[in-house]
Amino acid sequence: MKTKRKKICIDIIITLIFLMMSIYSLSLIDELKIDSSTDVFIPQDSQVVAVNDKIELEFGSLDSLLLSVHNEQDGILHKQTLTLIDDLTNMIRQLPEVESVRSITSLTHLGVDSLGLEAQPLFTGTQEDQIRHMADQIESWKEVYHNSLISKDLTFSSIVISMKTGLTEQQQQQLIGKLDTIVTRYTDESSILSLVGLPVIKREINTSLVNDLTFLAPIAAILIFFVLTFSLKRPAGILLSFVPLLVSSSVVIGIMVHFSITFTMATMLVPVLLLIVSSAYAIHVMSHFYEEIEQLPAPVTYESVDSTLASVIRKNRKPIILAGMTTAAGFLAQLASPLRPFRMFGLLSAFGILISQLGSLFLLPSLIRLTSINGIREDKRERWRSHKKRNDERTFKSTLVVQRAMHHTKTVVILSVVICAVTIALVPHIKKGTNMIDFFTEDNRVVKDTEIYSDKMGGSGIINVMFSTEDDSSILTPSFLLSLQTFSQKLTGFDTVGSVQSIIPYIKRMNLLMNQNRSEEEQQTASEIDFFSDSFSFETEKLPSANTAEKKEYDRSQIDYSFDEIPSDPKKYFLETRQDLSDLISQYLILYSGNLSYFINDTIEPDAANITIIVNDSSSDSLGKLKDFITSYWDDGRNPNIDVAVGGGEAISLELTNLVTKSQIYSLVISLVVVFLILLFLFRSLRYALAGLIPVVFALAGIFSSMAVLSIRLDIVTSLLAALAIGIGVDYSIHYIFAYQRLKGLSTSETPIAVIMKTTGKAIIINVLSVTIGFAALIFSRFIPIRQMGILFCISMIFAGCAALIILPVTLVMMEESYDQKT
Amino acid sequence: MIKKHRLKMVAAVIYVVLAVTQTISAMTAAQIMEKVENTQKHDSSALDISLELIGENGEVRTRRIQTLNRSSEQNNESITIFLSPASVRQTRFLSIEKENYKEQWIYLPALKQSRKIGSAERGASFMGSDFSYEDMDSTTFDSDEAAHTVIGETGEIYIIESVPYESDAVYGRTITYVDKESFLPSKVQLFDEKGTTMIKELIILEKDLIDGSWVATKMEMRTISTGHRSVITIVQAKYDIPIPSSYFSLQFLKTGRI
Repeated sequence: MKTKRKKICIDIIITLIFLMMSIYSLSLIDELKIDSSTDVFIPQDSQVVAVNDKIELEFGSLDSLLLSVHNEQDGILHKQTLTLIDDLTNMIRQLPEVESVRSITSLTHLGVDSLGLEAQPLFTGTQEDQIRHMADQIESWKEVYHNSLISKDLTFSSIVISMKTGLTEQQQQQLIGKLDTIVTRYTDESSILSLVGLPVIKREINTSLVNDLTFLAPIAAILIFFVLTFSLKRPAGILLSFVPLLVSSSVVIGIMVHFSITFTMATMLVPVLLLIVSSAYAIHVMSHFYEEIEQLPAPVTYESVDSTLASVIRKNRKPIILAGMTTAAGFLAQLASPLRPFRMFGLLSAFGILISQLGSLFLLPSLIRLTSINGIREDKRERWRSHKKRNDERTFKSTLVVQRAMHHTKTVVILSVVICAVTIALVPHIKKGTNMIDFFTEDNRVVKDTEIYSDKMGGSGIINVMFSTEDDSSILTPSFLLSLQTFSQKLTGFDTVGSVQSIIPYIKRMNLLMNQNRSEEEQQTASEIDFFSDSFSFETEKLPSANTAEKKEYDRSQIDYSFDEIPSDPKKYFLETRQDLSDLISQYLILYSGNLSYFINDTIEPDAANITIIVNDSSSDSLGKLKDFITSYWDDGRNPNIDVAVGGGEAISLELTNLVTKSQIYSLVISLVVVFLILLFLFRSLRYALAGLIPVVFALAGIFSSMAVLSIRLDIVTSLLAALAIGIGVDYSIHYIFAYQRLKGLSTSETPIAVIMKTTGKAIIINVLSVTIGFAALIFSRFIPIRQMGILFCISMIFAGCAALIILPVTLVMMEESYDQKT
Repeated sequence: MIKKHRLKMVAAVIYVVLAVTQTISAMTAAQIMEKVENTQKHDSSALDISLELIGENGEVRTRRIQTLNRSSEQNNESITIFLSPASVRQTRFLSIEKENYKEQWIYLPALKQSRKIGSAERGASFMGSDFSYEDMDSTTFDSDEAAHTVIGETGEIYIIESVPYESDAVYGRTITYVDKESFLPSKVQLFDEKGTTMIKELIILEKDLIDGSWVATKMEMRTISTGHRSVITIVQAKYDIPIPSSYFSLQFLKTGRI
């Protein structure tokens, strides 16, 4: 009696400890630091981050917000639309989070007037003649205006909003909120406003991420409830099995808050995964408990429940720990990833597995004991026995399938080889790349807005190329500028490039305007002026007088377009050297000093230049080709003093794709090696260890062939799957081979395979069903990669399960026969 | 009843005192700005200026310019010569401002050509610095250009808020901290067109008494949004010297000769 009370006290303490940990963790959920953008995945010491930091330092914020005005009916060059754009530009400029705003109503246009150069506002008013003049000016300098701030069909215009650098996440969200209000307020029947850009997509993901988790977790719980119902059939058993799952999932959230681990697209999956993966351990304990308790003589007292539990735990401790170890090994393989959120995912998941094992081995028995203080009624046990009978009948049917397979070993082998060969052939066709806009379905508002923006403006993805030099004069040399011009022209030849924005059109424009109606005769030798030199005098008679040349009238009717170029021939400009031409370009730029800060870092002696490439295809193949072209173009040694660096949002995506691929390879190799070593250690046999890899290989075949066939990209979410599938798939091998080794020496009326199907095989089926149905919850996610992960995992588990129950036994039998023949 | 009457009397006196004080303050503000204007105004000047551009990363670029300025009641003429860096040496800038008439010309030595520049560039950056062409003329509104109000005062400074009468002014509002001793601005805060957000801040770092007049010899302009700064240092200066009008001609701009 005293022992019972003591045990009850201990069980209450264990239950309270687990429950308090869980409640405390859930109370912290509001403090979760959420950042689902792909930025958090990129290591801060990577080259592309350094390049982007440098670009931001020299040229301002890269994360622009794009507020677009779309008027298909009247067009942009219309009184109301222009007034709206002007009002919006001025309004947004006032927002404290905004550094600068550019729109067609804020630009300075370089034109010609009767005496020379005229730098005047492009937008001067909304009267008919003013709008007509504006249209002419846009037409006269299309390479600057089209696809930059106004679409070619003049129905779509963009207001480019640069945020101040160093804004906090909260400040960015505030700004987007204010702009959202503007979009709603000013959209009417004719003018449709929308907001696009990377910060908007990030906000959309962050908002959806928490909603997604709160939506997915209950769905996963409901599905697991069905699995538990199917497996255990006993309401009390179902409810009790749930408790360790909920504890492990919630404790992981608490750990994330406590250690300030960011809640990312990868780490958000951990609580849901734990809920699914851990269900197997709970099912294991509960089903064995019911099996043993059914066989006890009546009545079943608290003491007999306690001793049965002790026996169940003793027998199942090793398999549960082993299964946990292999699954954790799959998760821990992510530690080799270059991506921090992946490492965190691996670590958190492995820790969660540990918690769930502790829950299954300590908390669950405590709960069973506490709910059986008065023993178990006989009528209950009778109901359990009837459930068992029905389950045995189902197991018999699945045993028949395996028995048939054993008679068609050649077919099984050929089929297996074909599956492996097809997978190997399909692997190179797997698409790679993480594009945040692809996370959403096509009916998402941000996706729709981004698509319209891309269609109208030639793209919405941005690649920046920064050119820098230690030599102040190199950026404005004709040779570099000519190379840059050819480079820009070649880039626009790519189908995936919408437009290229650089300093080139501005220099050409200045050159065109400043060189009209020039002749050599007009040249006069100018004296240098220094008001403080000894030779200078404020008395006019002491200065030499100038020749009074006849004043020439500026003729606007004859524009010599041969000057619409980067000046490269000194003679044409009555100059002697190319250095003189560089000086000439510097002098041009003095006049445009306020408007070129996005292209050159200093007006007169820039040592860095920036070009922006707008792309309409963010796939890694397309971005990779562009990057290769950029690198190879500047590697030809034409401009040895110039360093070229590729940055911008799409460069981050490309780098992420490369790191994800690298991460996939590392985690795959490491988890395979670790799992193989575990198998080798357990079975002390190379043959069994290799055979043990069969379910793993087929789990991977299921994943990779489906990715290729269903065009699922290898991205930041789907790349987590392979190592996880290895960790879970190998459990089936371990359990199966252990059972096979145990049974093969025994002489029974049935073959070892038939016996296994009734015991371990049944457990494997239940496990496959539980994790497959659990992972099916991910199909309900609002993020496409998470949906795809759900689909792939279900397929891989079915592959692994079939391989463990059909191909593995065939292989084991064949191995045995061949071994017997040899010996 | 008497008590109530007394209270009314006191309130009326306070009201009158406040109203008078307000009027005096308003007048004082205009007078202060007139004095600021007069302190800074010279009939003519020749300045040798060093301009330092200081980036957010601390990188410093130095430019050297000289200016010649002559002003009268209605006219303001200036010519600016760029001396360094070498690439823009002898690039020249002429500004002629008369009643209802303002024009600017640039001379490019590489082209040996002068060209008129449109007035839209007035608010644009001067040589890539934080000073605009407008700032190079003045950062304070004259007494008749804006409504001036004293919004604060300490033992050493007046704080004057100025709102321009013209709606197309580059700055929608300025707050000038006027040094009571020199009547030079010690700090000027420059606000955007709507007068709500401070976009730049000018701080006078050094001042000097030259020929009996206070002159700001070193000043820093900071752009709030970028943290970029520009420092102007007057290296040499001559004030109130006779300068013939021919120095402010296209002929002199082009040739350096008269």
